[in-house]
Amino acid sequence: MPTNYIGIGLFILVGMGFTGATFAAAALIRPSNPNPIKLEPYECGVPGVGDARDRFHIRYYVLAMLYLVFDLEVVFLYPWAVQYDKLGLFGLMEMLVFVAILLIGYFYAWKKGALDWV
Amino acid sequence: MLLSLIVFLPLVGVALLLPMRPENKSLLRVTTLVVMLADCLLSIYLLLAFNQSASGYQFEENIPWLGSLGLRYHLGVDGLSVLLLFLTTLLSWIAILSTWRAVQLRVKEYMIAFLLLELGMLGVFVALDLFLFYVFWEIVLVPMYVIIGVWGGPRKIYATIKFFLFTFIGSLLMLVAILALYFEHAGLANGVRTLDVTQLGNVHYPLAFQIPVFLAFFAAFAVKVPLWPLHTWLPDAHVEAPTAGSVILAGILLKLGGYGFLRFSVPLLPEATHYFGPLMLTLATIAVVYGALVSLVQKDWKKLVAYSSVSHMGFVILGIFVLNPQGLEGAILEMFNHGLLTGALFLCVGIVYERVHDRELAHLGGIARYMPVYAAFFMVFMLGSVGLPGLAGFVGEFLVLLGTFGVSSLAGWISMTAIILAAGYLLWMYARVMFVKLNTEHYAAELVDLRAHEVAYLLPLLALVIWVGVYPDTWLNFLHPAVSHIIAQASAAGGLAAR
Amino acid sequence: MAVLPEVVVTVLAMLLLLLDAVLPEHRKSGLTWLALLGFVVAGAFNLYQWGSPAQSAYGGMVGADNFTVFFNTLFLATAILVVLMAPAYLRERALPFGEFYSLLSFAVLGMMFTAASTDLISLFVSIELMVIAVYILAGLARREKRSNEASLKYFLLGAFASAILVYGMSWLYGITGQTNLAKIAGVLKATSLDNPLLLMTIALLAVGVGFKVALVPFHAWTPDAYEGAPTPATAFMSVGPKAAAFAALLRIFISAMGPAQPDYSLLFAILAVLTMTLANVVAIQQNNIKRMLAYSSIAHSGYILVGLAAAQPGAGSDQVAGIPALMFYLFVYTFMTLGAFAIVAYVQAGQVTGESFDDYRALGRRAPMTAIAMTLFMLSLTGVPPLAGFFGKAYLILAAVHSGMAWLAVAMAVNSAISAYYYLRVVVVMYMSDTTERVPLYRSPFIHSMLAVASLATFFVGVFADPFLRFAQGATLGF
Repeated sequence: MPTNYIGIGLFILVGMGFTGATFAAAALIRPSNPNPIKLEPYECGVPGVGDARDRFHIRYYVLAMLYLVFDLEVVFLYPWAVQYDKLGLFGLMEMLVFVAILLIGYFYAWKKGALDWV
Repeated sequence: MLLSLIVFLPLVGVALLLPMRPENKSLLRVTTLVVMLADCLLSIYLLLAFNQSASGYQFEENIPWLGSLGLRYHLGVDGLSVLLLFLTTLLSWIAILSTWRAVQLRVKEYMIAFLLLELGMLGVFVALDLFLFYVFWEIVLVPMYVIIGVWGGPRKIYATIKFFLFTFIGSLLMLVAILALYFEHAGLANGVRTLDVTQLGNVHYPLAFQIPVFLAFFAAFAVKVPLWPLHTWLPDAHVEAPTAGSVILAGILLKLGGYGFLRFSVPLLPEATHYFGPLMLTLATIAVVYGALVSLVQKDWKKLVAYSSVSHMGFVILGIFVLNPQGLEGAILEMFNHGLLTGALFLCVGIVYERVHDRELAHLGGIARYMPVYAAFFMVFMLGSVGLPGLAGFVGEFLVLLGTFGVSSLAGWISMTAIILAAGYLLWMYARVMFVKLNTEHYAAELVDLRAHEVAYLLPLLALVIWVGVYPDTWLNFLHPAVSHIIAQASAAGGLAAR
Repeated sequence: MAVLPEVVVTVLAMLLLLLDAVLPEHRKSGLTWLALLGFVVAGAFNLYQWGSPAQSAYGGMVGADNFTVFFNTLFLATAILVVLMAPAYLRERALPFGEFYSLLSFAVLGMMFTAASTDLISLFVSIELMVIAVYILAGLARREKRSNEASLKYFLLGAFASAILVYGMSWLYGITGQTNLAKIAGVLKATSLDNPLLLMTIALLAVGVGFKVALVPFHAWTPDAYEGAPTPATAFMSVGPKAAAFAALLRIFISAMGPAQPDYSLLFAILAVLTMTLANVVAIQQNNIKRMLAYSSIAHSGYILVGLAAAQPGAGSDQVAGIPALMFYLFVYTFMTLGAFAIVAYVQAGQVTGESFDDYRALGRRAPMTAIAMTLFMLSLTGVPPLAGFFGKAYLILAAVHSGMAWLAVAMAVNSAISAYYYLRVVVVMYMSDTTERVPLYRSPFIHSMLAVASLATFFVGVFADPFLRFAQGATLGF
């Protein structure tokens, strides 16, 4: 049994060896010329403005989450629609319950003002 | 039903106390006292109704409790437990009377704690199912912990936590051993799962199993006794406990350990008992002498009495592990006597402490001049504790030494010295406290002689001390069948005669 | 009709959410009654199913047997007690009623399905439903930094744990090619046990669930999360999800992997000893009652795990097997822990913090009945007879001794003694110390009735343990 893993072990060894060897070779060959300009972020030739770790307003997240919920709903709706003939009335009722549950959440979010863009 | 009634009567008392107003202190006290006196009368009735010549357990009650595990609610008494039961009910109401005036703080909780304590102690002595025994054994722990912790002296919290942890660790190891016994018995007795003492003894356990179980039982019982070197919690607990707590602690809690050895270790694990016999005798001899020597140098009156307990309880262990009738009967009687005498000594210390709030031996002196009646009572108890013939202490110690000489004259001779030392420290203590002249003059006004209620609780003790001393047969007659049964169990299993 | 209790709880959760959105602010305290009613009805339906033959639903994803009924009883009792303890605390702190109850219902729903799951997929989804609701519960006091911290820490480590858990499940699926627990058992029975993959699977699953039930060394999130969360949420977290995770542990390790009889008992025994020892030692040093109870809850996870270590697969019908001991202990643990947390919530309700030991000074005089109840819970957690905690521990020790692990029993006994030190500290502070300040305690019939129920349960489940032992034993007959 363990012999089956020899290949994987070799692969790991070769992978690590190759990476290490490349870095070592580069460190030996390349010219060393530290320069502050090298550390600046480069974006389309325009100098960067402000901090990249900016905060986004909370309402973006709320919208993103609501989107996610209804996006996922479709994931369930598609296979259901494809198999609709076989599932019949029971399938229809199940899907209505499913959608109703989602609607309750939607209603709650609405009432709580999650959809208002203040 | 009688035993259940005796054990659970304190619970009725708790139920009566609960709706009462905490301000109404005298009603609380009187109710507790009446309940405890009733319990004491019931136990006296039990003593009278007890058939002294019959062997085995009497007044048995046996109903399923944790049926799915084969555990039962099984109560019963033999001569050993009936004496200790009586001692418990007696000292309980005496303890309440002794702090009639001293405890003014949270009287209601105090009374409830004592009632629960009594319930636990009574249960320990009558339980014949090991699991039930363990439950009662642990119930005792909590009220005592609260009594020392709430109504104790300045270092009460240290003392009470030390007391709790020492005893709790010991008991938990015992619990593991009890459960091991449960399965070992099931394995040896065709899968019969029980912890009934009457059935556990019918099986012969291999020595390799007996040894660890004995050690676990030892952890629980030797801490309670307390056997040197596990005694260190005792002086702390005694010094900090209120008088009533000390009385119960010395009078009954210490007996739980001796009772445990007698009821479980020796009969159920006979070979381990023989195996560890020399070790136990050695430890007991050390305890006897060590307790006496340490008593000799105490400056605190109560600590002196506490260390004398270590010495006296050493005699009990000595008597148990010599495994002959004289030793065992002496040990049991010594337990009974120690309950009466040390209880009484603590009461006497408490009486003076209640008046002057001082226990330094160097501060006191000449009390006999101010409290003559008290001095007379105290002298009898002191002499009884010394082992003066004609008083209780003598009989027990004499029998124990008789038994010890039959087994090991070395242990006998060494233990003998403790009696001489006891005469030394107790007489010296009496002289320092009672005679010469009062070292702290302004105490004189406080030293009022005994009050009526104090006489009321000292008198029965006095009567019993003299009764046991003059005519011990009344009490020894209870013990013959129980002791011969224990000895039969201890020697039958391995086919071993007493060494 | 196998899932009727679950359906009731689902409807309840939806209804609470809807009403919370619709009702005006001052009417919302009425939601307490609705939540109580819902859980009681679900509980009644649940108990009605006791003893009926095992059923399954959703294409074999979910089963309904005595095991489910037992755990559902546990979960619904937890929910009812939490609903009773919450209103005073929530009102004092101006926390939202509707969200609390509805999140609670969703979490309970997740717990119920966790215990009922007979398939890896439904098991994982249920666990996630439960924990996501609890993450939010922990952060419900959103203006309080500690609550944010609690929620975030719980979430990050919880997500991490879920990932490991689902990874372990995927290995299990990889080995057997099945997700149904019974079918996995069937395949495993036939395969060789020295499969290193199986070992890896066991390790991953143990780590994943270990995080959820807070076993050492996967416990680091617990004290912070428990301390920061609103106290009723903490109470719920320390009981509900833990019990559910143990149910999952039983489903995976006993139902699915049991027949293969892998020797994992030493692994769990070592984890158990590590957990209880470390938690107990650290708990001694705590000065915050909530943190102390958090460590105590970790320690109790260790005790409970002893049941699993002692469990011998296939011995389920034996009266002293580890599994009924584990389940009985969970039952007992629920009441005493919820009771202790309820008192923390109760003492806290009137104050800004109310979490340090000093806030309990002289509680024995300020609130005698509360102090007695707290004493009862502390003693029961210590394992002093005749209280329920003692019988739980004794039963676990019984199982450990029975499975030949006397050292484990001794370790548990010694640990109980260590724990006595810090539990008794609470009693010492309540009765043996004095205070001059008199902070008025909040009055709420809800919390008083909750404390009454929890105290009575702690007492009577102890003295009359037999029916409850039989309940736990009956629940494991399916294994």
